[in-house]
Amino acid sequence: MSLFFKNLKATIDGQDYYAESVDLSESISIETFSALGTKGSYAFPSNKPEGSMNMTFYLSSEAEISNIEDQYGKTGFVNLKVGPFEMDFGLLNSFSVQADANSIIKGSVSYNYYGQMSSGSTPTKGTAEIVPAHGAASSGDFSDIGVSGILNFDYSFSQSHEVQYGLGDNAPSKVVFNEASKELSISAIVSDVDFSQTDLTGVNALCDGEPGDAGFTKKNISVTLNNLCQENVGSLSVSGYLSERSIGVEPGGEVVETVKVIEKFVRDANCDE
Amino acid sequence: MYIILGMAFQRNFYGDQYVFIHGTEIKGVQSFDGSWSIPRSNMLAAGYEYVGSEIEGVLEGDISISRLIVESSDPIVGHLGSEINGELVYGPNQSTSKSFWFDQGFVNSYSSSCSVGEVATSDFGITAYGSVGATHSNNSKKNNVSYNAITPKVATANSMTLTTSFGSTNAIQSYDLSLSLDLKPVYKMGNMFIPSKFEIATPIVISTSFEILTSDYEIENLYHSVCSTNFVENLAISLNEKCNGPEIRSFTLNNADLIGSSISAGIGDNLSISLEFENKFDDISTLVSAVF
Repeated sequence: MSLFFKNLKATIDGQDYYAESVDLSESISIETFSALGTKGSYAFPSNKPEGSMNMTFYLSSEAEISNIEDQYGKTGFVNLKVGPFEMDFGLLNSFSVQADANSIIKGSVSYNYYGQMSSGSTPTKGTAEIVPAHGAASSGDFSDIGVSGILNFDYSFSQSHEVQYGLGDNAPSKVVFNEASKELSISAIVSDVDFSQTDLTGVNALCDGEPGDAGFTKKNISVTLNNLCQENVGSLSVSGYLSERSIGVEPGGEVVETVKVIEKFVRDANCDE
Repeated sequence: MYIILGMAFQRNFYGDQYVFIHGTEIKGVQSFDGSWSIPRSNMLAAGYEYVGSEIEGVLEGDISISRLIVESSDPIVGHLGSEINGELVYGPNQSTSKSFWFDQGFVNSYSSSCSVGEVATSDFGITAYGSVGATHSNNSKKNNVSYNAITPKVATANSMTLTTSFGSTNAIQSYDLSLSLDLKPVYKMGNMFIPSKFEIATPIVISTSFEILTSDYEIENLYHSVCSTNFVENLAISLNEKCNGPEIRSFTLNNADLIGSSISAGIGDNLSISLEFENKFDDISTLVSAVF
């Protein structure tokens, strides 16, 4: 079977993605033993095959982001497909987007999957023309942290699960959600930042303030992703607390402040346990 | 008898082309070169291969203009470090209906040179961060240019005054002065490739070099440059109108550091020495008031 880049269309839970790169890897744990009265050793798999899929992709439609966000904090498996390779038991591990003012915006996603991949027929090459999200056309709302314009942003979501097998089961029998968080870190020149709004503590020091107060209060910030034709390609938002800020400068440059807002994510149980 | 039918092509004669910088016509222009290029990245996606291309990078125009010095004032000096617009106006049949326009431009280089037998030049380059090309700007001189003759005040090589420690006994053959400005635009997300701010990196360096036919000049010892004042010199270049007329342009370079020397000898050639100096400034306004 000849396989090329043109045959490896990536699909997550039925949603197609325009992947710039995609990697699949899987492994198995092996237990070896020998016994008195035997010569040599024996081996058996001590665990089911597990693997990971990492993909960097162009953000070209709202559906691509919403499909991934629908998996935030969930325990249900999704189907992953990369060309002829298919994985039925995928769980979102992380999703991140980085952007600056003059570049195409790309997303990166990582999945863990359980059970080895299967292989089917080779798909034919598809045809498409995309207009991806672009930093020159994307902006956001950072008024809660007193920022009026940004140089770049770094959005990331990560979550962890515990996958359990039962005796006699080939497929995972139970998935337990451990924890998740999403972060949005932005950089802006200091003249575009209301410094007091980025204070880590409020007027009452570490005590929680009222919404809209400077300091330790809940902040809602978001990024709207557009392509160069000013069409909306999705949005990324965080509703959380300021956890870090830093100031930096290089020779001949303006002082840049970087601020991070972090949101701890709570599992959406959906009454399925 | 033959009758030839077809499109009539016309050309733009140089006498019907005009260069304006911030509304002022630039005289003595020998050449104008303007260009832009779009930095497009090809996108390849698994399962599809080529899925299009997109702009990735900065959108800039480059303009370079070479001039002979024909006036006693230079409008460019007043624009160093400032945002400017400008254009080359042209058009068929002297119509001046076309323009290569630019705005949000900054002078990124300025130079002047002269050799024995030549007219002194003053060239400059511009990087434009705004619109570049055809324009509908009200500031454009398109369709609004009238020919304005001047009497050139030419600075010739034999009517200039050079103040150096070596020029009185060694025949200076040429000078070359150049200044480059390293502009650092600040781009914000959502601003569609338009910079919101500009910074000029420092130090701003003016390099000046002289070529001399050597009589008694002896090149300084390299190792004497360590903690020595012999490597600092006050230089001045005064360009006068031909036939010892009044000064029309000058460059003052006090405390110039000697940073390079070279000597060249060959059969049939005059022994020549090249000297290279540098002046450094920490802001453009100090530079302009000190040098021009």
